[in-house]
Amino acid sequence: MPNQQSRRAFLSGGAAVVAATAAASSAFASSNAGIRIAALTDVKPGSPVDFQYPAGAVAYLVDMGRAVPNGVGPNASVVAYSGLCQHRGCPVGYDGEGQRFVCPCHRSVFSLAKGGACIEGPSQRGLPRVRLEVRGGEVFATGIENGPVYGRACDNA
Amino acid sequence: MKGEMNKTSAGSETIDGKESRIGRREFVGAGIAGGLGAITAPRPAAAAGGGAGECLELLPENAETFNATCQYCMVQCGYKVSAWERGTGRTPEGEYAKAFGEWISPTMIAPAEKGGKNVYIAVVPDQDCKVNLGGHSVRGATNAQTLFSKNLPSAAKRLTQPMIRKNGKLIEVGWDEAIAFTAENLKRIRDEHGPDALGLIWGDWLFSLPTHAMLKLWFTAIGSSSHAGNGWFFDEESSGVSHALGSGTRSFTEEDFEKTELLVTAGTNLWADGTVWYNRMLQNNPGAKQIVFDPRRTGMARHAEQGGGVHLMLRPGTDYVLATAIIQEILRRDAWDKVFVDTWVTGFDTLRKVAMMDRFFLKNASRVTGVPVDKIRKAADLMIAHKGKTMVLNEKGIMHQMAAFENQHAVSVMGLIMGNVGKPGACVSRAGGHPGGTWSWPSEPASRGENLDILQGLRAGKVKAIWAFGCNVYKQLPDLGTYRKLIGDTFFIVQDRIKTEMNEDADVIFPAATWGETNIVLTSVTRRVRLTQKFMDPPGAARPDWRIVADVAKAMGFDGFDWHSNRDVWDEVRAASGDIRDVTWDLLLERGTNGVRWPFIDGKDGPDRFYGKEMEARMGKRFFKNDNKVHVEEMELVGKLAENSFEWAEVDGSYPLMAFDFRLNELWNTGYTYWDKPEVSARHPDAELWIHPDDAAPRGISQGDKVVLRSRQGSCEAIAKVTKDVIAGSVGMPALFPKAGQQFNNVTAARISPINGDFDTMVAAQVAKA
Repeated sequence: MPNQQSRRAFLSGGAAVVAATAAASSAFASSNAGIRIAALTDVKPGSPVDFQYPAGAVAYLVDMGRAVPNGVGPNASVVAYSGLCQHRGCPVGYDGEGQRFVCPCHRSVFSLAKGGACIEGPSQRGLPRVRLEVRGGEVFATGIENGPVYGRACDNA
Repeated sequence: MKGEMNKTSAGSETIDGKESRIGRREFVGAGIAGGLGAITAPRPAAAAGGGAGECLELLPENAETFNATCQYCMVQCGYKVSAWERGTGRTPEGEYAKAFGEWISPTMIAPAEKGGKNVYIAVVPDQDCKVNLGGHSVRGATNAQTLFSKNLPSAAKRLTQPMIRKNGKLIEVGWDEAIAFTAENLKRIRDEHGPDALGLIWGDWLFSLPTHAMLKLWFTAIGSSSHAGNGWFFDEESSGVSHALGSGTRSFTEEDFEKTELLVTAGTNLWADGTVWYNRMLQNNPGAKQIVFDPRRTGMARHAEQGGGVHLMLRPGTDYVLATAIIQEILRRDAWDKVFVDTWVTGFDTLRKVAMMDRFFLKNASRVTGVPVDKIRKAADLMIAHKGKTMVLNEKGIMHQMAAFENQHAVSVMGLIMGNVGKPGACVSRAGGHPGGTWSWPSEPASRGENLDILQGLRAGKVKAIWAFGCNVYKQLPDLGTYRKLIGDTFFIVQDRIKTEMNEDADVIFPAATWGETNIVLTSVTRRVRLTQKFMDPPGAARPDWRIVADVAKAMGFDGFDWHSNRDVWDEVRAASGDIRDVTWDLLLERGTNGVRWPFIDGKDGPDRFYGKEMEARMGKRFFKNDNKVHVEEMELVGKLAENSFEWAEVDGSYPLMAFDFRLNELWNTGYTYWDKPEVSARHPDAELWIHPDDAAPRGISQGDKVVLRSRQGSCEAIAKVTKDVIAGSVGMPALFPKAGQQFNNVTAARISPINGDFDTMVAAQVAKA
């Protein structure tokens, strides 16, 4: 029964998870400005970068290709969200065409144009946003907004 | 906007302290993930703002815990409710919920007051409940956000004191005065005009105990037969099923969604309306195919097409043509379940005669329904490929219209000839219902035949009082413009949990206790009877509904209303019903969120599903009809209904579009809790009118425009959603939207389907920019 299984075991055995483009986060370093995610040059529109934030919880860095609220980078176009669906904790997949995340388990849809809000499906909340800072051409995660991230009680990373 | 109120903001010292510990965990985590381990300076104080560092206070191990089922839909997921004094909970660091679905969302915890203390209340999906296995919908996950707290903005909308109208003004009074005033007026009207002048409109999603109390007062004590159940005006919604199977009782069990090979839905958007069932299929039975009858391409219709099934985007109201065309195709291919039909079905020759009519030939049906021939053929392919392993579910989308019976019957028969009953993963059933429906039905006065249509009674001036009992008649009645005035002119009693537009006309307002504020009994459509325990006090002077009824009854001089507790009422309910007689209050307490399965006979739970060997063993027969057969001869009526009758006949140059309504996933019933949930209601801040680009362009309507929908009855406003996801020539709008001016029932007509008396939410209309 899925409710007896760990979330990851369920996922690996069941629904296909749409893989976001994996990259970066090899330099999983933190500083007093947060945790380094990637160099700005590694983030391209349409190709999100996955990282862990907080540790053990997948998150995605996305270049929206246009200025968006809370966006960072030269075009104020880079944002990041927790990648765990708030419904039951499945890692969401990226639908670049719609600039949305879609949960493979129960199909909740999260709109990046609407700040990660859930626009369809059973999720009761939007995806928490990862607060970003750019220093020296590198993007750092510095906190969580609209948390907590699935699985946690606290917003802190 | 989740719960600033239920977060504890840690001081900076604590943050620093936590940071150093968490830093170690990050190090370990990163190492496992293959990253370069690095490190751990405490986060600067500036980073602690804007949410970071705040924690949701979770229930302590020793929190008081209660059993509940959801306050919303008929799926009736189980929940565990806990209450604890603020500050005594726990705030675990890091990832505390590792198992699937174990997490407690901020929407599941709310502040409240209990026993004079400030508490938090958590309403968490129950992992051990067989219905939901810890799952939840967007509605159920936000049950906690509807709870009363005097410190929340939503407190202002709650009814907390009885009110009566004096000299044209509603004033707050004590219970004794409100009860006496009501009893005097009801007696006066009855004495002057007879008992049938007293009209009752009751919401049967209200809870079982109040429903029993009220029907006893109305039928037995007062002796009035002027009533309308369901909060609407007619209540026969199952006849297309019951004429075939002998009962409209829903016949499937939750596990069927995990076992079925093919899910057919007609008039029910199950992803939105029965979310947890549908999610169990997505999650545990992802190979299942779907056939979706719907004039809109909903999310579920998209899933159907993506998963190798078929979406039949049809003109509203032509479902019976489509289903019968599929039957014809099955007959032409000689592919029905012959063993099942020969053994159990009667009337097959009549069915064959009707189904083989020219008008149900693929090409002709395609023209009438708007569904391409190849899609109809594909639906037949799927029905045949998954014979005996198909769930055929129908609901209000095909029954709230003039062809209600024909639609429901044809869709059901389409499933029945394939033997889709009584087996795992197979059924022919309605999908919905009301969890608060009554188990007891006192005999109705002999005058019932004259009073079937309470709207007629209002028009004729025969009904002089209306008691709106747990329903918002101003959102539910058709042709609002006409009937609002007629109801407002009666002696109008409103019994509700919140203030609504009904207050403007009410002569009496009774504030009712609601979910969690009194012990109640609710039943899922899968026939699980369960107790939802009282876990907090009602606000102000609000009282349990049954008690308000009993007080009015006693003030009117009636005997038989001396109940002292919810348990007393339940004992009377079960004594009046053969099938739950042995279901004691203590048994319900003991069974918790899994409850007892109706019919409970000889101390044993009822069968998981009807119409199979299990039912035969437990109940002595396989079908409810006297001859123990499935009847399909009433397909004759389907053969008699001409295309373009009724609503479609009213489409003309002035009203060239067909308007229909639909349910929103996020919106329950009349939306009495909708605005309590900011993040959920933000998805639909307005009612959207779905209109095809081919219909929008000539009217100069663009996406997001404010539009007016107008019919012969009246008009309402909406925001245009210009989309190819609705069939051209028809426009769709949410039912029961809780915003002034955006109510679809301003345009509907007060008429009922000729065969079974269902009401109608399809109407010829015009749309223009506002």
